[in-house]
Amino acid sequence: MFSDFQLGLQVALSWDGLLMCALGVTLGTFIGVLPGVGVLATIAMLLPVTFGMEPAIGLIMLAGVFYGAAYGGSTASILLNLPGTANTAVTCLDGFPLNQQGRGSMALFVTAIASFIGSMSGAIILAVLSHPLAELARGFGSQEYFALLLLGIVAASSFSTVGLVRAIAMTFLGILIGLIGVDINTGTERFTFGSQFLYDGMPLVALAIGLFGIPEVIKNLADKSTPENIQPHLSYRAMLPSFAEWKRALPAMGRGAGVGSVLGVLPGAGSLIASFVSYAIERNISKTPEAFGKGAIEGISSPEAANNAAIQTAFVPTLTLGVPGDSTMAIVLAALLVHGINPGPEFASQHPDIFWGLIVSFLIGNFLLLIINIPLIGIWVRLLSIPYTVLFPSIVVFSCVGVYSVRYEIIDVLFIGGFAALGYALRLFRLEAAPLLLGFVLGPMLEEHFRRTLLLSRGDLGAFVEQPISIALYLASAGMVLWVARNALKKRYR
Amino acid sequence: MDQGFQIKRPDLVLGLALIGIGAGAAALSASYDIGHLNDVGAGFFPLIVSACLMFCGLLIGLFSFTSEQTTLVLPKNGVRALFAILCAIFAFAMTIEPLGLVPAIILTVVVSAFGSHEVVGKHILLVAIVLPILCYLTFILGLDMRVPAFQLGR
Repeated sequence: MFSDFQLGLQVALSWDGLLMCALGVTLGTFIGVLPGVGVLATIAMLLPVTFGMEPAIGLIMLAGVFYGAAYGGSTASILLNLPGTANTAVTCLDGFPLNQQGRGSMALFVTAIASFIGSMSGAIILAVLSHPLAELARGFGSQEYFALLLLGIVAASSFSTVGLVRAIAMTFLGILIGLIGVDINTGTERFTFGSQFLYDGMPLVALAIGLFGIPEVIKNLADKSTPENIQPHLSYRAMLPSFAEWKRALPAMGRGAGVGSVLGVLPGAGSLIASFVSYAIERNISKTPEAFGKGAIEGISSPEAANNAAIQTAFVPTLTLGVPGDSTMAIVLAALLVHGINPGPEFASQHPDIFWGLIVSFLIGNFLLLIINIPLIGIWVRLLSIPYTVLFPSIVVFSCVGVYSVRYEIIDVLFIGGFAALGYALRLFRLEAAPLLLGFVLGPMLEEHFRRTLLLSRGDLGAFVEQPISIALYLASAGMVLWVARNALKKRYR
Repeated sequence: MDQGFQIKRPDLVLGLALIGIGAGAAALSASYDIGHLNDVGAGFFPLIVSACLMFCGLLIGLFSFTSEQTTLVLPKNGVRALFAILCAIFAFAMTIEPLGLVPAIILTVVVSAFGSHEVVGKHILLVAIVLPILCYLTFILGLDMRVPAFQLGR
């Protein structure tokens, strides 16, 4: 294990490793700060760039964007009352009031520290937890994997803000799109309409950019409000919290990191839920719950630690089980699959350079982010005044060039247009694209395990509920559905 | 409020659309080999998924009668933005091979800029100059993308 860690050090401390880590976290902070440029869209746009790199280096950069954005996201939340990324939305509640009270720079400082503490604990838990979890999963057969994938899908849909049925419907649609192409078992062309371009399936990059990047642009252009921008005065003295504030903030960061680490590992929960849950916990245990929403320091410390911790621990199920908990992790998984790497229980032992390289890069990246976000905060604050009329044509161009660069097919560029229209329609009909993407990536895996289970049991459907672990996983899925249904009924009949 | 195109009972429309998509996918799946339980064919799994999609559509459609009526409004600005950006993507697709990267980018920038309700000439000019250089450096020099920067016909 120590030699694996050393290998990780070598990868992460290599020239490429350091450069791409720095590039990833800087880019992440950049798009995190800018409201209206999402993490998922950015990662999708960067995917083609990483295809040419070593898998470890590419993953280090993609991950850097992901956690870098969570640092930067709080900047827009605090200064504009507009979340830079979805998982920093809670930070608006107390961050913006703090800014109105003239304590914006202190809030920025505290959220950077909270993000750092959360991220670091998440990275350590990833390192510690992956080995026992992989051991546990080593005995998994197709039955267990099928149940696990199903639980991931149900869980992700249960936490959806648009409702369980709508989210599940999108997952099914995603699975169907994921099945487009030649069936590897029988050689049958499915849903290709005779087009040779669909022979290898729908291209992931065009789908992700079309569904997330472009509809976001359209939505921002459709609602034309310009938020109020209160620039904080940024002196180092104004940044530092008082001793009494430290005493309230630090334990909150610790609790947030704990909540986030746990929720990040669970399939479907993720960093957004983690930030909301930790905020609710802080308000409930506080002696002064009335201070929340008016600039309580716990209200920014805990959620920021939680969302960053969850981002790191979300890698646990993705890398050790090969089952991503949310759509962003689905893209990470897809990126690995493109390189011919199948994440699973054997991942850490077969590819120690990638696994440990990634973990070491988390440690380095978080130190870099601390530097980027505290002394250099002035630069990012100024970024908020970039007009959208400059930004959005750039997003459109990067989307087109990126997708075209993957395999030089004009039709892939046209697919962006098709998915953009679909993505915008989904938004209008109050649907989410995230479960669709999750279904798209998980669909083929789900079918493979479904078939293999039946093949091994010679057509006996009982095989699905033979193993105690699968039964437990199905019960967990059923429990979630019932819980959501109960809440929905309670809401309706009150 | 800007009045755009409206859809009454969007959830009913959505439910019906999902049932339609599910039915189409089910019909296609049925045309592939279904096989049986001990030898699952290519159509088996997609058929199940299509059925599930139709069921979800049915639920959404039914719920639309029990909950409050809403109206979906398609905002004018949104339609404008969608149209301009689709045109920009199409323009890129049509020009990248015959003309090369730089002209394709400039055209995409100019066309997409009309998606905003405020078209600022200064900003378009800025982006149209900076972005081709940036993309040239990243994609052609940095990532070795095999596309000419300029080209006249093929």
